[in-house]
Amino acid sequence: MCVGVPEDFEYEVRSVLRTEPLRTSASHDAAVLAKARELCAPPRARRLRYAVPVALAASVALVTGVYVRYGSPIADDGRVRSSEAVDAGAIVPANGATLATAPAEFQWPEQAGAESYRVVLRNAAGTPIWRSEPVELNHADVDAALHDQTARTFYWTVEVEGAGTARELGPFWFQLQ
Amino acid sequence: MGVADGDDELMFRFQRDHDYQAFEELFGRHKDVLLRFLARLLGDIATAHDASQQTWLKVIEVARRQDYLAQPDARFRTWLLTLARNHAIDEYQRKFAASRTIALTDEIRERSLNGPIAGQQAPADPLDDANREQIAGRLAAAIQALPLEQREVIALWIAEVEPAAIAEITGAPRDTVLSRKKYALAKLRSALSDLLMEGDHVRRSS
Repeated sequence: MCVGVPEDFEYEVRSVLRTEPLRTSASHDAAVLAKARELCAPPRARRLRYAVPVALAASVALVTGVYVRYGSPIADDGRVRSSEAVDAGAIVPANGATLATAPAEFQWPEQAGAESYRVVLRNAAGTPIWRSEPVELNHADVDAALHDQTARTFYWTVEVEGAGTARELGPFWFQLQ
Repeated sequence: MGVADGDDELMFRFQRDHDYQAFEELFGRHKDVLLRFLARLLGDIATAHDASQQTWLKVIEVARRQDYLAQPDARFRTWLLTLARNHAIDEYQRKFAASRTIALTDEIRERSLNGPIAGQQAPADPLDDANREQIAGRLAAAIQALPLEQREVIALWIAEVEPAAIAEITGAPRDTVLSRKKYALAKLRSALSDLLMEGDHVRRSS
């Protein structure tokens, strides 16, 4: 058999191998997509577990006339909602502050039972842009990556990890001039 | 959901909004490319399938933990291939550390590396099907005989990953990537030297 290899060897290597028929199997796809669906749609049992407390909370809200809104941390006016459940004086940078330069560190009130903390910084669209390493004390240095960001408004939360407990402080927000 | 949605946008929708359709779209775009890369790297279809599945499960886990970060120059595919490459190196290559090369199974030779995808138009080129099949089989075997460092560069290059991204994925400097690619292609050319000589002969005779 006469076999010819074109002179453009690199092109031909890619051309020959790029057309290979290998595709993922149905069982591979099913396993991955099932896992994704699991994340997107919590199991029925979990939904039922939360159904009663959610119904009770909704009733209380109706009776007291309090409208509690969950979901996006970005309010309709474009500002970032923040928590008021934490001592505002212990938050650095101050919640809602306008800063000339990026903050050097974050601080928050010490939490009882906390074993470690981790700061998550997000841009105004709610997209995470930085996570600190877990820290044992209630402050964390700001990664240099923040200084490269073009965004002006940021919000941040603190993940609190402790024995048998996991909760989140915030979101708090600040903006750069 | 439009075709124009970027990979990062889809990943963020999946992470932020738990948008299943966004993940499905993302998965559909990259699953076969990822599997082919892993098959070339690992040299075995079953192992590549397993590594691919584990990689996608890691993607889902990252989204669950809200850990996918926006980086100015980051691209989802580069990140995905890095995840897959690191997983493959960590979990599977140790098994083959003694021999550095992995035999190409008949299954790969027959199922993965011969001929165009069914239903897909093959690009017009001067090779007929028989030549293409023979060259593909020889190339696949030659790729498996490359050292791991060169094989991963070639596998990424075939997937049309740019040298800068290959450098990012493999953790090697860009110049090193280019050097590895050069040496790998020289070895592939050498492995196909008899075909090249026959081809030259054909061209000279015609």
